Amino acid sequence: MLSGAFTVLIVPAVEMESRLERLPVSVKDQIKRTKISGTKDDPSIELLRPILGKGEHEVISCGNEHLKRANTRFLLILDDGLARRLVRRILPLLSNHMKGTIGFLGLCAIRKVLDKDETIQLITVIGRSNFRVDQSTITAAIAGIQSR
Amino acid sequence: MKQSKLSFEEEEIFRKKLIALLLSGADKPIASKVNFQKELFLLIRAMPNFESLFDFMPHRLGPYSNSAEHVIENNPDLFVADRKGIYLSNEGKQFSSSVSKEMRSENFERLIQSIQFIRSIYDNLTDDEFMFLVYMTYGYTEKSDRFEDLLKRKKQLAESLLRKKIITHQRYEELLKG
Repeated sequence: MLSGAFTVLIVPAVEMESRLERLPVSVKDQIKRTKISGTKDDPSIELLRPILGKGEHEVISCGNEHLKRANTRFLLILDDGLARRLVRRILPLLSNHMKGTIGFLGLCAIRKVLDKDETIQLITVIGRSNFRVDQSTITAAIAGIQSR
Repeated sequence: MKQSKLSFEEEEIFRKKLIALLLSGADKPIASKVNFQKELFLLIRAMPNFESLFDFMPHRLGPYSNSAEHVIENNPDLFVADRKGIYLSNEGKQFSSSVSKEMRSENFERLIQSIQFIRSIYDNLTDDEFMFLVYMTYGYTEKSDRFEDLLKRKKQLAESLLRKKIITHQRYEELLKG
């Protein structure tokens, strides 16, 4: 599924929320776990703590850590509209690395990591589910895949 | 808590400056003493270099700094606490502006950004919403005489925070789980 095109890092809170153990071994083997600690030295990260879910906070902390280590080749997946707005506001350098789940699936299809038709089907199903995403995002992602 | 190497007088000046900057972070008063204490608490959590200046302890209404309360009470020329809330007097505004001019480092910019962020988000909370969010994030419940009541109202408080766009959906779910 991931074809080795991305190294997927998962933070502990997201691992718990997503019940990773359900996934097939072939997928789990391609996911690396990472731990987040020592974010107290960054005011912006600490300011977000009361506002965000643990998983969202850890993902942003992880992305920020990559930036601090001058690693610019990464994406962080963040879906909540408020969380995304806050990142744009107080961690603007992270904005360029931010994708939503739908945007990331679209990117995978465009890079041929995922099959185009299957991805369009998957995005369509997500659009009909209770996943919180605007229909405009679904439409734009599908259009982006189809245009390639 | 980090040990400060400053004298009491020097610390007191720093406390005054920091509180003046916090109060200058928006064009309106901080609505209540509870909100003032909690906004200062969040600022100190974000900027732990200032931790030693404010002795935040668990108190009846959540984390509370006696020294911050004293700064407000002992400097009526700079700070006003009345029915409108807590805010800068005209002299306080001049003081805050002079502090801004004298501090121009990168850290100062981070401090101001943090203050403006806190004021823009948390000024809109009621005392109960603010206490609930701080308790659920940082604890400090030991001496609280409100926590149990707030916990009983967690659905109402969490919904209000979500409606005001203060918290994300994921945080909302976490607050409900308590």
